[in-house]
Amino acid sequence: MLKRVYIDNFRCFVNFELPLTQEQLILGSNGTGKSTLLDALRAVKALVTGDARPDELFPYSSRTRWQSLPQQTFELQVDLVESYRLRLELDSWGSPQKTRIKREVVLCNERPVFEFVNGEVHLFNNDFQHKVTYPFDWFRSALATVQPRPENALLMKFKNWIETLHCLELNPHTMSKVTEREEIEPAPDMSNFASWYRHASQERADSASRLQDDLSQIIPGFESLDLVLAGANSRILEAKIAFPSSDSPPAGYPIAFDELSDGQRVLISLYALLNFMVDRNTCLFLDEPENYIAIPEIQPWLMELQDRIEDRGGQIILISHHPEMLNYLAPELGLVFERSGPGPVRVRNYTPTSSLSPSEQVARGWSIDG
Amino acid sequence: MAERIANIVLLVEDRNQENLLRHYLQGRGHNSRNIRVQKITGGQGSGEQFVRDSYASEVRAIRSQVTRTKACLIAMIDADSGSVEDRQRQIERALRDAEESARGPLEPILNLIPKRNVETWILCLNSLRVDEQSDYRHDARVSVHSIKQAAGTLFSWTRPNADIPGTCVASLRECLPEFDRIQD
Repeated sequence: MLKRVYIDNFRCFVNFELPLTQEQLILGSNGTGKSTLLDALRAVKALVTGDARPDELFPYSSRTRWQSLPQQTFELQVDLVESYRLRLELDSWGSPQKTRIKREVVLCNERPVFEFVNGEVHLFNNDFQHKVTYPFDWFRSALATVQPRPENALLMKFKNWIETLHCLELNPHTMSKVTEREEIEPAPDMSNFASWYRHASQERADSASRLQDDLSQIIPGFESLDLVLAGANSRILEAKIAFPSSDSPPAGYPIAFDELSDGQRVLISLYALLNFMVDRNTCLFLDEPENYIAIPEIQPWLMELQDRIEDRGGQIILISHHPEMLNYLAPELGLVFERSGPGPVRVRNYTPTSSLSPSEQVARGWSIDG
Repeated sequence: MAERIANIVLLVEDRNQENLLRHYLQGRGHNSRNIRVQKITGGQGSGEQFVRDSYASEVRAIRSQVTRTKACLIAMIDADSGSVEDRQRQIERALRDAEESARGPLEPILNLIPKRNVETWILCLNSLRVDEQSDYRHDARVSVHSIKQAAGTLFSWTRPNADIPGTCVASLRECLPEFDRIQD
């Protein structure tokens, strides 16, 4: 479980501490850094998994504008029985200036299992003994290149966890019905839903079956979600839906995924996330998941989410402005992001300040007073 | 989109009450799509005050809905350090003050009043020996798993001809007939 995030000198985050629990709702006005948090986490993940270089992910413009500090710092503290801490320090070097990694460290129970400091990598074994030193390119993540070996199991446990960190903002307009291949990772906007579902349903038939059960309760006449052959490797994602008729038994007919309504596509995606992604070590950040779906659908999804987390573990951090979400979750799980003008983001636990519901409090702009 | 009709409204103080009742209802074959939860959302005073303040309007809403579709209100309010009878009188008075008639004997409106609080019931339903004077709200034995376990036991205790053990606390034993008001 991700217990703490620390960000310094990244856009609106200055010396910013975010403690987290298993379930959390982040709320706050526009421009208080809620989505920027997801950008930061996506960038950290992309860096240490080798998907991109530091200067692509953390350009000079990502530094906090109103100060002129050269160094950016990020920390993730994760509990996986052992307590892990990833610390990243980035600065700029060369002409033209490029972002480089000054320090990339993974600690396990506050003892190093990996260090990449000033261009030198230090590897440690599972007993925290320093074993290997070698020079490495400052402009790439060395952590991303470490391969699993029996003697670095402790480090790999953290590396495996970070693969399960997902920051998503569902956008039905980008979701395609066509898939050319299986994809393990959902795209941040779930535009690759069909490809991700193709992989997930192959890997976890039981979850796929549970998803179909869920959808049959949500979409009238829903029969199945199918991947139909459309070429050597291509498949088209279709929902089979039957309209009940008094004259004859209902017969299902296919509707391509992109012919479903925006709300139906998002609901299918949300229930797919519940079934495939809410799992022991998974950490899922979802930005405004209620966008596009009807009000009566929100609370049942939240209840199901809560039940799945209780049953299977996992961590979910929701970001929302919606009154349904705020009123249902904020009293127990709310974290408020605030800024004074264009200053740095501050965070505090939601505390009721009046006889108003959280949504009414936020609507009046009174939450800032807490 | 399927029309979601929430025909069971839970009027509760907090998450533990919500979870006990939701898991209980799931055992009876209901799912999250026909349950609507109304619980304290902020600074409306204490949880019990929220339930008391909302009770009459929820009863009125259920009574108007019942004429169109099957609907049921389950209100749960802890007795806390007072008596179950006092709490019952308080919510009856709330109905009178709102000029609503008293509950009919078969009306689908359940008044569940745990003494001292729902955590007492949760532990009792987990076969633990408890009394109704001690405050178990912060008892470490109350967990998501013990609540689920409690909901399962509650389901078996509300079935016809159930054998209720002698360790069952009085407030729970007296409330069991209330569950007959749920029309599945």
